Amino acid sequence: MGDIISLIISGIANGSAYALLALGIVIIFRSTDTVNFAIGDTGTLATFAALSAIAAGVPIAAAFFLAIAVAGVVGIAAERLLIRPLGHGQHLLFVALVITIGLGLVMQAGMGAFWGNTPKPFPPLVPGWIQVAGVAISLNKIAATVFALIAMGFVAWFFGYMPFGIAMRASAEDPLAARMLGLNTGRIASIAWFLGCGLAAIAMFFLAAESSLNPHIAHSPLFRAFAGVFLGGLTSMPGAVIGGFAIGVLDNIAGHYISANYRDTIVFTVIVVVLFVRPAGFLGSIRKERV
Amino acid sequence: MASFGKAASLALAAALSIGLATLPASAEDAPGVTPDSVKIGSWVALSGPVAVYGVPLRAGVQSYFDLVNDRGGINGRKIEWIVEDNAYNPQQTVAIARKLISSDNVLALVVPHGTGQSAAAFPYAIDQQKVPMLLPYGGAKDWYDPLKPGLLGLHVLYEDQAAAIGRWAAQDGHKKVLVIYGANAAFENVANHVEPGVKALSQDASVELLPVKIGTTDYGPIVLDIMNRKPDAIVCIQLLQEIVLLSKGLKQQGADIQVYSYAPTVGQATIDLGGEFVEGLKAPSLTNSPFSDHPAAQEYREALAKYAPGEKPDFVSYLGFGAAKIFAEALSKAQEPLTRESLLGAFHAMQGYDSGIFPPVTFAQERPLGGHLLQPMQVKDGKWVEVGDVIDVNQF
Repeated sequence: MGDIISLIISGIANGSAYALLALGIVIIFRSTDTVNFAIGDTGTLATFAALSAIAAGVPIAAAFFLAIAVAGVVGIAAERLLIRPLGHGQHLLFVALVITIGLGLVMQAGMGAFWGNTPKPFPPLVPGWIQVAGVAISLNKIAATVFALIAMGFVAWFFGYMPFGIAMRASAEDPLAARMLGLNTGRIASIAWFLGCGLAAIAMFFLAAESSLNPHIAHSPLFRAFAGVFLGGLTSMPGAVIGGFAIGVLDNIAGHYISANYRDTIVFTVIVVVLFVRPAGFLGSIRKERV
Repeated sequence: MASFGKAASLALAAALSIGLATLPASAEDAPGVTPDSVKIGSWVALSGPVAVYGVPLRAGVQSYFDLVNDRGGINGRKIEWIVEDNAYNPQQTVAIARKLISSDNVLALVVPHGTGQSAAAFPYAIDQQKVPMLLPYGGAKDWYDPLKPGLLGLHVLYEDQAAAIGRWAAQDGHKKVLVIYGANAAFENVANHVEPGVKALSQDASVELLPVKIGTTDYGPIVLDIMNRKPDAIVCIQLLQEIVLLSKGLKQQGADIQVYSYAPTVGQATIDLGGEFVEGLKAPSLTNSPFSDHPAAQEYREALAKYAPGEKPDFVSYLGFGAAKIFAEALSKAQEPLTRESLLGAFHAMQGYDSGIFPPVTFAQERPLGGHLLQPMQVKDGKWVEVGDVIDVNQF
């Protein structure tokens, strides 16, 4: 059990990307009742845009913010053009889910056609690595962890103390009442999609630097991010972040002590057991409420 | 009236004979063949996890066929190579085989890509439709036992590569070898052949196997596991991206363990993706270097620059170029009328053909594998360089 500390530290670092994606998923879900399966592909698309910008001579730090902006704009466009026209109703969740799955597939095909399907080297925002408790962790991963924690803090502050964030919560609580009070619910939805997809871009930017960039890179992390969302609670933003980190740690421990080959199986078995005992996840609530 | 009737009969006979001369020998055994073209087909993974091999492979094959076509084709026939993306998916490959054979009417399947994927198409393409499957990129021992008429392979089988790598590691003095492989049957089958190679030269050496889920992107816990096992050499039978990630994890962790891999790893993509982390990696190559001064390598680089300008010279496209060259050689020697049988006959008559890219290849009915030599390579200063003598897997 001597490796447990290093496994936990490494797991937290690995889980940062899942946490960022999970937070994005929950922000969008709580604001527009949409489970956005295209969120990872939106982040990948933005990262490809950043890669093109870097190739054109744009500094990597500027490309990072460009990726966030591109993902945010694509997210707003998706919400305005594909989700909002569906209106409100019980059928929305399922229809929107299918639409986002389709959107993700279209994005993957488009990225493959435009940038190619072969993996592309992607530079890290922060190059190098350090030894922590005997395990090598890239500075890129540490930066991703810091960003995930900052994002969680920012979101908590924004929705807890900022007038617009509070308005967003009110709008989510009762959209009709919010509109009667003069709140622009459309703008609130756009901001939520911008934030959610922007967080996905941060996650994919760091993941691409860890391995390489290809149109299908979001598949596995998105799978784990959803696991984190359900573990932490679909309606809880802190829960999503904690769930994402927990998946990273669980994954590491299962891979090391049981079998590297059955990491996914073990992680998801644990999640099924947790959800059996607590269906809403650790921090979620059964009653669904928006932002 | 009688002479008119006789003249008409003669004219009709002449017309029929001219018409027959311009038709293929028969619709059944010469599909895809016309006097000025020959249609062949293939499936290549242009998307998905092995697109890193599939994209340059297509570029190399297509470049050679474009070169040949610009020179007037083979025996006056332009080569039309129809390529479909199988996305590394066996089910999709079977659907593509049906389309190529029954709809596109191809003469043969040339340089199809993927071991499990191509094998999935055997029952339909080879057993049922009797369509030759020539020079596939991939392969396994059980493909050729028992022999399948029409199936001709070009390069050294992965199992033989694995045994040769095991022998190479033992020759380098390694006594504790860890074989890491992608957890599916095809990779496992290859991985199992490392141990006989090691033991052949070093009876007291130990060989351990470690499966890793295909698609793994986080190698942190796996690297810790490896370090606990304390191997002095690692043989990786995995997808390229994962070999790169593993190498990265090992170097970051400060592990000084020699890593070996198999032929698909020898390519510029390994260096582009792995950079300093793959320095020292060893693997055998199926061809000579595409960057050499050999005339065949020069012809390849010029053709690639002209016909696939977006593709950098590399081992995989070079391999495709060489395979296309060997196919074109057989096509040029096939007896007229060109049929599937005459094409296979030309392959079976090929004795020591030197493409300048692969070692000389020889085929015969009882010898469906043309190649048996491997060139050991190593990444040094960011380049693949030849190290040591050529390995003959038949001498093993």
